[in-house]
Amino acid sequence: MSEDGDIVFGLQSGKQKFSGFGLTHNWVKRSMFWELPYWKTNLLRHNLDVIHIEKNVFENIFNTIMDVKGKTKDNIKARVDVALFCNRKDMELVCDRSRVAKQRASFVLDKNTQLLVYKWLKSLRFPDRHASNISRLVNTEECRLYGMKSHDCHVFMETLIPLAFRDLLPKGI
Amino acid sequence: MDIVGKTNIFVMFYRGSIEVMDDRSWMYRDSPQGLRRMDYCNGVQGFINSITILRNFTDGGIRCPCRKCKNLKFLHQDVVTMHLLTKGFMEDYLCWYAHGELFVPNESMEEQVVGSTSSASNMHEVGNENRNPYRNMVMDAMRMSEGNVRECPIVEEELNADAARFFDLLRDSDEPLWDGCTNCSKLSVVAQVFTIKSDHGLSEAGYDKIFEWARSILPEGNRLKENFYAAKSMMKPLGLGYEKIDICPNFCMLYYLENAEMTECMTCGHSRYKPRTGRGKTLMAYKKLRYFLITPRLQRLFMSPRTAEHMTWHQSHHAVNGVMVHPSDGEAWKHFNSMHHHFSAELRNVRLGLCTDGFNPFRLFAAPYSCWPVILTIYNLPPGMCMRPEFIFLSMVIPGSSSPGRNIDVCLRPLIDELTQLWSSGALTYDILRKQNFVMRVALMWTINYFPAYGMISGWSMHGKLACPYCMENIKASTLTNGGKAFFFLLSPSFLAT
Repeated sequence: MSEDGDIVFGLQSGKQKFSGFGLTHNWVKRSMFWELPYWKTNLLRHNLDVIHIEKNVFENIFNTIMDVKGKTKDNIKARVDVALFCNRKDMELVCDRSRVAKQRASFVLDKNTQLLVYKWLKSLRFPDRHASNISRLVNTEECRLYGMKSHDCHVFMETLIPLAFRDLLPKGI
Repeated sequence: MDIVGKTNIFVMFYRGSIEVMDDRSWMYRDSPQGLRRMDYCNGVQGFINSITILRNFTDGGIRCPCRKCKNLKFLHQDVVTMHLLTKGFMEDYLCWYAHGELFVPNESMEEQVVGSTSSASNMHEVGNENRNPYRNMVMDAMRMSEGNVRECPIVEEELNADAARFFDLLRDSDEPLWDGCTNCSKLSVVAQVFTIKSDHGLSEAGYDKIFEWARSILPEGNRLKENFYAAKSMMKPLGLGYEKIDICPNFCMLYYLENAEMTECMTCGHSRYKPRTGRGKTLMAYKKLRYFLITPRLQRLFMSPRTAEHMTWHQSHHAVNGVMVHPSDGEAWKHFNSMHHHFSAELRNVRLGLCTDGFNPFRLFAAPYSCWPVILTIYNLPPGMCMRPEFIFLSMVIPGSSSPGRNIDVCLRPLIDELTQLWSSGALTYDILRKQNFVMRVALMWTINYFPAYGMISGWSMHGKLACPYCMENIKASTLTNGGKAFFFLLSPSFLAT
């Protein structure tokens, strides 16, 4: 599975690549775990941290719907790519004489509805030990969530997202 | 295969007596017609006899080493005889390691094993164990129960350095805080205050002040340690330390083993030490890796009866059919068992998982700094326990300020060395629950990481078009023209088709 290679370790050692990197394979080194005598018999050598991924997915979804500046994935570059790859006229950038406008997407909440969501979060109470006290993590002035732990994100994904956005977003989404 | 030659290297130990193992070539020798020979039948009978006479295994049955049961089932001796006669021995079972023989690949370990098995044969009930938990802590740390210490003089001879330290600690723990004090001993106070200190982040100066004050209100002639330094040197023999290994600031190499004396990096030529400031100062390294040995900590799990009983949970729990309650119900675990019979036959062998991630110890908004703790989890323990903070072993802290990237292999060197050693020769460990010594071996089952760390650990880069570690090279992703990232959007029909 792994190629033999003499990688000189060190941050200053420069980029060393095996031939065909990025085309036929993506190996950058021979992992040191192969030195363990039993490693080749293991079926699952490396696993992904699902809860960490869930946290990132949650943050991307939430920040996009709430249109958090700098965090949303619905940015200018994405809109330019939409024009290239998709057939979604309503999502493309509108060029006015001197400026370029990004129209609000259907899955993004407007300011007043966002405030509704944050106020609702502010008043939330959970059973003991279910999650951390999310109402304390809400900053209604900046319209942001701060200090969400990965377990809170899990609870949010499982139970709160359908409750929060079912009535606020259009049916198709 | 020269079976006869192979058998001679195994030596049989039982309760201190050594008996050189007889010729076992009969085990895998059949007549040309596939029929069992007479010496095979005699051998099986001898095998059963030797076990039933030597061991009190007969009550709960004996492990069946036949080709099908593979030492996993406990059966009555008659049934085992039947199985062996019809199915034959399982592969590679020349050393009867599941039946009281120790697997000893070299002769250097013999003396150790003999000495300590004899101490283990002394079984004693520890009557007043619950009286003083901090005394138990000492006992646990020094791998023996109270009974063994008092009545087994062999221990003193065997563990010379260990025993001396242990008796010092024991005397400390027994000594009352002042003459006439009934409920506190010198050690218990120090241990309790250490806990408070670490829980509430008490400074060393604060600790000294409190103790100065406490000494003044206690009766004359009290034995309270005067300051933090004295208390720390008293606790030191418990063995809760770590190694500091200097590392090149560019993660080129460790100053470790054969390179321990070098003062310049072999690759980038960066100096190991900071330039001296002032006179008479010791040399300060630019970067230090802190490595916490895992062997003593794993051994300590078997020294406390409360944890030792859970160390075989992975095998003893009741799996509901079709429901996976623990990784041991999964296929990867079973496959590993079937590949390594030597390892899986000893249920107390430890299985580990490894995970690592970068984090900034200086809060979110401070200067960017990424240090990488490497953490080991023990899969032997029940799920409720193995995720508790006290059973999650910090193995090393890789210093920042930048992430090591793929050079993480350089830092993992001591861990890999220790794991390899623990797999091949193991570590002699005293199991307090079963009152016996055994050679504990350790396997790393897998690693669990988030994407960037996954790339660093596995060597498959998480960037570019081939980023998916599951599809590997069998995918054709495209790059977004403006976003600049790889995307799999145009492939969705190919996923739908399958």
